[in-house]
Amino acid sequence: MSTPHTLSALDRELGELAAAVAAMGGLVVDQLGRLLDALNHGDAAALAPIAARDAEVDASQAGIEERVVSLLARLQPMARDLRTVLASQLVALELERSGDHVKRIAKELGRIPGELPTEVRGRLSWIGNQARGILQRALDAYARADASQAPQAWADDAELDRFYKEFLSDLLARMRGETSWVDNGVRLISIAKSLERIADHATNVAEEARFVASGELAAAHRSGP
Amino acid sequence: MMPADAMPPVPGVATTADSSTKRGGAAIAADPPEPFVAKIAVRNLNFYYGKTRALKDISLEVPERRVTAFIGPSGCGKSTLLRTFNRMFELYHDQRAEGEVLLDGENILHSKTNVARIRSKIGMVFQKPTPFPMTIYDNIAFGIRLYERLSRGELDARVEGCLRQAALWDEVKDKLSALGTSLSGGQQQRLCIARTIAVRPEVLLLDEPCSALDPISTAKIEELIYQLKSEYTVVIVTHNMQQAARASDYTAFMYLGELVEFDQTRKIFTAPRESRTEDYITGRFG
Amino acid sequence: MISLYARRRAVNVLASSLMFLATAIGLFFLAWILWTTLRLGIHAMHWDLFVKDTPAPGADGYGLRNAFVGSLILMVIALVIGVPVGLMAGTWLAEYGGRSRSAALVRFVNDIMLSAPSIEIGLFTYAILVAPMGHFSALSGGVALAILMIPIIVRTTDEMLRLVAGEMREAAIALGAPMWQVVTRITWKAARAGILTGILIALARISGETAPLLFTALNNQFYSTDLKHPIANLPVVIFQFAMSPYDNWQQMAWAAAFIAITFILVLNVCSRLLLKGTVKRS
Repeated sequence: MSTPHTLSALDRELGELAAAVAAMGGLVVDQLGRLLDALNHGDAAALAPIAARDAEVDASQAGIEERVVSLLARLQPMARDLRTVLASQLVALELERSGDHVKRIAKELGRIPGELPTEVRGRLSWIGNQARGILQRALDAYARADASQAPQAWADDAELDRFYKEFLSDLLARMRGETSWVDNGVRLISIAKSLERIADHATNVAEEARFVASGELAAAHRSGP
Repeated sequence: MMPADAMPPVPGVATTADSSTKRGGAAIAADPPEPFVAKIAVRNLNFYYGKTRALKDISLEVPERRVTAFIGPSGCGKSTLLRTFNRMFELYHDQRAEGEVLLDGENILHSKTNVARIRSKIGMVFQKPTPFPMTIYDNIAFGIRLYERLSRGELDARVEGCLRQAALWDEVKDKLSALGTSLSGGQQQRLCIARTIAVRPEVLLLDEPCSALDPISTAKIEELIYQLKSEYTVVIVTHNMQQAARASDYTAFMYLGELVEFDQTRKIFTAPRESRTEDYITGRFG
Repeated sequence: MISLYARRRAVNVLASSLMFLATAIGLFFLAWILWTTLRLGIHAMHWDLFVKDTPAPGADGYGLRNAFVGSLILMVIALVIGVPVGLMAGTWLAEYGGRSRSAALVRFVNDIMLSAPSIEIGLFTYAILVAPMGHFSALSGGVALAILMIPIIVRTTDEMLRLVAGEMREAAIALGAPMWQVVTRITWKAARAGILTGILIALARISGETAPLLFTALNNQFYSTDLKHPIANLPVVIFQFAMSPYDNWQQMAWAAAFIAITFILVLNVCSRLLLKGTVKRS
């Protein structure tokens, strides 16, 4: 909004809050990127630092929550400002959970002995990239308070879900045929599921962007059963 | 999201995209629209101070047994609008109103409408507590005696009832014969509210009733407003947006004599339609 | 160069000193008057003053009973006429006239009346009452004093009522009270102390008036309560006795002056106390 607040502290703190959310978003996207690189290159050594770095993500979320509580208590934001503050809290939560999934995936990947088949790696990588794309675009939309990205995020997420489901059923078929695959199969299911969940969180971020822009509650527009 | 039965079940592993990830599985529908019965209907109201047009084509419906708040910057006309509802402006010869203010369908502004009767139906409480120079008891009884001849016992009961309804009884029951002015500011304001409801009005107009009070007294008045809306239609003019947010069901935002937006309070304070409302609510007004 | 602060201080000290000096001069003369009246008045104090009438020229003895009673009667007449008229006019100005042109005109005329020389009021009363009736009378004296009193009461009533918060009036009207009830039951009550003070001040003002009585009530050597005839009164007694050659008359003039000044002092103190009470309450 172009007109400044009469209370400059509100402008300043809202700005700081937005910056903190953007930084946290950047951190999670970067974590996911590193994870996908490690997956693509079979770089097992990179996984432990990624898992360890999740503490930073958690700290960011805690910081944002503190800012939100303080802002609500002291400055009583209203209307769009109120929506921005509430959404920041929720976006931070989505990001924190995405971060947890990254960490979980890093750990699961570390537990898989040997190289993954190229085909499996490719499909996981596709899911991961799709999730990362949704998250990246959602965060950009959120930063601009752009409502228009939400439908795109839903579409992308639906595409990812289809791909994920196919991957899952192929995986299950293979596990039924080769019992030696069960151990790895279970881990891969868990990894794929985490990636799918990251995409869900990313979709929620896009919906928060829409909430900030329009005031329409995110849940009211959620599609599907 | 995919339906769960589309997936082959794998024991121990949830194969579906877990719905708990997405907040609120079912869409949270907005509350069903409340029954909206207009107690006061304002139609194309214009108001003039001399030649200055202070209200511009205001049309608005005040819902019955709800709290409606008028907010807006100083000079926006919110108090002026309130004062047309009981024709208070008629005390000043250079003020005049054009248009309609309907109370249950009857035009208040019509010159043939009996002002005293209108004022017995529409009570008003002012910014500064205005206890009359008489005892606490007589402050309440003053208005009652204007309209009814009651026996001493009936009057006593009525005074007590009003003071109880205004949450003041426990504080003053032992000093009903003390002067009204001996009370604290917050108590004086509750005395004024008790005095107003003693006449058994249908509508209560509150013109910035808390602007001279400390936060605790303010909270007590707000609680009182909340209690009163079960019986009365309450209209409150306030400078304090938080107060409007806390105490009202509907909010009208006025600016430069115009009604910019009127809606449910929760909408006005979370997602107003008009950018001018948004700017004012969020504190962006120069 | 003197600093701004030092200059300001110097000006402040100078101004305070001048004001102190002016106050001291005023108080000095007031004390002097009181002291002289007290010294000479106390000397002439005698119980007979209150129980006997004024002695004939040249006769011995003391007595002011007829003058006290006469003054009292004159004041009562003035109050009976002046208070209702003044109160009503002041109320009209404050409650009904407001800022209208007619109210402004009435206020202007009232201010002229306030500063009108009292001797002219006496002459006026002479012309409208004494001359047609053919002789001086207590009634005409009372009327003259009432005419002096009215503008003071009008002014104070108007001002005191206008001090009553407009919101109190609006609150009563918002309850549906008719204007006459608002005035009689709310605003008069709220301004009661101030209005009463105005009446006391007006009473104090007329209790020392001599000039208008010379043309109206005149004086009476004897005890009289007849409103149609001249009546004795303190100011004229002081005036005549002080200028007389008789020693006991001169003494009585001082005693009368002392009593009159005490009365006025008491009235003023009372009005102060009344006002103080109001300020404390509101």
